[in-house]
Amino acid sequence: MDPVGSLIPFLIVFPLAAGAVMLAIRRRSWAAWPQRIFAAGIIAAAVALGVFAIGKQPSYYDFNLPEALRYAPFILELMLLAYAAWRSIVYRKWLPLLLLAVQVTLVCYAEFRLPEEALRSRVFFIDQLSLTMALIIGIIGGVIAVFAVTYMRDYHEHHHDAKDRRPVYSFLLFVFLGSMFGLVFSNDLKYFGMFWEGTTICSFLMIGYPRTPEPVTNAFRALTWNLLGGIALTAGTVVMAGSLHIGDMDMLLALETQHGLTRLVAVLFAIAGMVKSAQMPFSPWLLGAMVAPTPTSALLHSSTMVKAGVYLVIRVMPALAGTLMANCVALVGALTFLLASVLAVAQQNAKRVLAYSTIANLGLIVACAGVGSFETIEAAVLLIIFHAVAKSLLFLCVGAVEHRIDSRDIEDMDWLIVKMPPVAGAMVIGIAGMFLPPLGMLISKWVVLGAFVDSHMAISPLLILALAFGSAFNVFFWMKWLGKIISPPLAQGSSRESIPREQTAVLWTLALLTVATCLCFPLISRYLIQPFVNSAYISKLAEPNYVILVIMLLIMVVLPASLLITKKRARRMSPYLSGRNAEDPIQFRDTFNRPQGIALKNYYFADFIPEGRILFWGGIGSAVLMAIAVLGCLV
Amino acid sequence: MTRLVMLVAFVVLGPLVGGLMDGAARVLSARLQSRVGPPLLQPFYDFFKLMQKQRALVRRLQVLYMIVYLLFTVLAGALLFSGDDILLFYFCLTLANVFFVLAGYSSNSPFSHIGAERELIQLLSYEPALMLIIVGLYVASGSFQVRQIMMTPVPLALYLPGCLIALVPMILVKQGRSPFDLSTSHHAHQEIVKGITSDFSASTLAVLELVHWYKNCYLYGLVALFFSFSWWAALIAVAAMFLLTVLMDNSFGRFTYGQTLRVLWAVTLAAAFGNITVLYILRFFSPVLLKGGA
Amino acid sequence: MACFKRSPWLFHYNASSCNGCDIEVLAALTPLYDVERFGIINTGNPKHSDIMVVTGGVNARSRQVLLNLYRQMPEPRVVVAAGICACSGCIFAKAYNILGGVDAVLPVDVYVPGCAVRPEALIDGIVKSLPILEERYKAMKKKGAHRG
Repeated sequence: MDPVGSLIPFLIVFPLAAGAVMLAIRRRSWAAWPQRIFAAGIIAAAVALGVFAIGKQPSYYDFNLPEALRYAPFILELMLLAYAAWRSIVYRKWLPLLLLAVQVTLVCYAEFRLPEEALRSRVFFIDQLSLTMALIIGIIGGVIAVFAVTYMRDYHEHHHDAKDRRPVYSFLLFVFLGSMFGLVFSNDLKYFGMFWEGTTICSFLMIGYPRTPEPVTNAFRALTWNLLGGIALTAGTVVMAGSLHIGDMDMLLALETQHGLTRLVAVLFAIAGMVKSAQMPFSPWLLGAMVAPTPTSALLHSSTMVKAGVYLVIRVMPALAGTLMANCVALVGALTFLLASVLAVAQQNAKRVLAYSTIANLGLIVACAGVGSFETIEAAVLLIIFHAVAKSLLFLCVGAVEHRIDSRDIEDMDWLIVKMPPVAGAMVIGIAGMFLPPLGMLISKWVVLGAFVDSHMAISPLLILALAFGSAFNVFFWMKWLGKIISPPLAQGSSRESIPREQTAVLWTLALLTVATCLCFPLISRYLIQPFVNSAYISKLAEPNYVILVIMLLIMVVLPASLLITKKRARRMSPYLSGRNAEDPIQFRDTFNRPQGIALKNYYFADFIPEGRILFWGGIGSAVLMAIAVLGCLV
Repeated sequence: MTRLVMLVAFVVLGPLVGGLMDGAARVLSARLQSRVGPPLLQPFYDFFKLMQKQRALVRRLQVLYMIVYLLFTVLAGALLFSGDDILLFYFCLTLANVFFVLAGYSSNSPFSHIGAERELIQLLSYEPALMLIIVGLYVASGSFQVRQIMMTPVPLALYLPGCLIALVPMILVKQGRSPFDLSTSHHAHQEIVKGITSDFSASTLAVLELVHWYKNCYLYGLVALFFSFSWWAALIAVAAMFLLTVLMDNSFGRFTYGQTLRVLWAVTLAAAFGNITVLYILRFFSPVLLKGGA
Repeated sequence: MACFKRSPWLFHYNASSCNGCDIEVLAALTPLYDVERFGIINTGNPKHSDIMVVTGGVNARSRQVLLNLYRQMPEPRVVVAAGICACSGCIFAKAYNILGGVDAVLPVDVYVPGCAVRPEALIDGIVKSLPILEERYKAMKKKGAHRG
């Protein structure tokens, strides 16, 4: 009895069943514990899968549907698309409707053109990359589902204009998790496409959950863009089926990539991946999606769904390593990384900062995938892992804070370290995890840099340039936020706020995970990544530098603890306000001797960073590069 | 074994050397201004005096941040001087700077806050340059390990003139000398009182002095790395760079943050990036040219 | 260690001076007098300084500021009154707004009269305050208040 072989269908079907159950539970007071239990089940299953499947070679699984259900996946996909079409009609959105029509046509075409023998074998598979993704989806998805229980309750207390359809929300959450599992375990492109569309529709419905005007508009925008990606994916499948007569991913990757059509399929898949991961010029949909409730943002738009996009890019791009197309894709990624980092500097809204930072890091992953060498693929997978953990943590923190201080503005988060210590502490770890050594993202960037300097692409200097400047901007905007959290309050009434203990537990689980993954990265590299990259490849990471990193971590953790314990008495002084301090430590006396408040704000450089124009020209540049990549296949 | 010696030498003697350089810079500046200037050992007198002052704080965390700043600066320099990974050196520096900026943010004074923002802008201006310089060193010598960079037969200064040029403004910014003394400045050139250090006092300031001396050591150590093929060349280069920085310190007024960013980035792009691109092109056409290049 | 004598950092505040004494204080920094020879630095920040040099007489507004700034100076600290207005108020002593010299508000350690105070006299005055600084430091250490 192969545990892996039974865990895979379990992980796909169990969330779907859980979703159905959650949909059925109408009384809210009965819904909390089932959701937690289901989430725990998913986490446990994912961890079990990790235990059984880690370090192993890729395995493929046949999957035979009974004859009567032969067309079931196809019907299911059509139903999803039809539902979306109905919602488009209800809201009179014609562009999504048109795209849905195109997609339906393509799906039907693909269904009846795929070769018969490909239909029933090697449908599902698991290798270390799938396992990595599954662990992320399971563990992070599970804790977010737990967080959502209390969060959505608060959400409806804050947003009375949103209709309370929490059963639907929980349903969508679990269905989404199931689709993601299906996606990462699918080898058959038909199933892959179905789960892909499933995630698109779930994202669309979850963004539009409140059913108020702004979320609806943004939901349709997300739907439109993601449909374009879906069309690219289906088009690639059609070409694969029609001209290459194959239906499986592994068969595609085994083909010689000299053939123009093979390249075209790979590029179309890469473009589909880039749409889903909001690369330029597709970034606006992710920005718009930030109006969604926090669990949506944390789960879909930072750790899992957008990772599905880069997952696809990582799968296909290494086959094209060194070609013109690879150069184009890598350049799109690098450009996105640089421009999104610049744009994040100008954002005051915390969720927008997180969104741009997500886009930037996804760009870096795409750039790594584009280069396609062993080192960059390792770097890409490390980036996926560390980014997923830290970013979801940050989104959840922002959500928790938002419900207490009623603001998403960074400028309102001063003194958070005293107002909401557990949340602020987790937030600090999250931010540190995004850019500070010795934590995860820095390690990944280290590997990325090493990989870029060793790469022999024509555009390597440009990649290094983008990395150098992009990282500098990253430090800048993260530091502004970090500084704000620890700065003393500027307004009265900074009383302590508290959040439900369950939320604190989730936040600190993720925080500890951030630190743990960083400590374990040599193990992750050896057991999870190297088998995926190439068993003959020895990672540069397994070196004594690890010791230094541990020292750094110790200094950062032990020292604060020790210094805060020792109670050396020192004289307290007021801050320097040119001698005009008022009695209240946060005020000064003006010319008329009246106490005045102080206003301190970070630099946002909004005048120097025109968001619209940068998105536009960045989009043009990326679009040109993608066009070159596509055309390059056809010549 | 030599690595351990170098490490200990750096940690123990680094402040002495750095302090003397600081003192020499002050004397030289004074002479350039037709003054006599302080005694050479003045920085050490300042340091000990600051240590003897009463400990007084705006916020307890300030001390913590500054001590961590010191520790990571020492760690970074130790990595450089013991021949270890230069990328790790770079990351340690970033970490150190983060704590310095946090110390600035931890007080409510507008001067402190603006100083912290400006320190971040300074970071933004020179970090790309430093990364590109390190990449240049890697491409020319084939390794990120400093001891191997030193051993490379390739005369680094000859292959990396652009990176060397980019090093000049970078050193000025890191030392906080005119024209890049935005976040904190010499006492006589104040703009926002003392900027990021406005709310520091006593031992916190002393720690800052210490960091400054270590910083001198590793910055000039970086310069010497480019001339590792000859002790005399390295010594002359360090002396020349020292004179150049003091001269520029005394010649320029403070730049605005816009000017700082533009100047640093222009030099980074033109000099450092140009240098690296040329090296890549050379490596592409004749791999033999860069022995040891990857 | 005789470090306060070798590195006295001062901080200069204008209570209500006509600026004549201020100009002389700053002149001391110039090449002609060059106080940096003695390690003296004019920091603009009370938290960094040992010596507070006050010019001008004290009125109600500058009284508040003087007290505030004095409190922001870490021990050991001395106050030097530069110019006759700071010493006693001089011709403005009977004005309705002037409370007197600096000693109306703060404990002054050295009085340097003059209108305007000569840089040489000021330097002499500061040098006279250095032993007082040293004494205060010794007293501070003895009390154990050094670290708190």
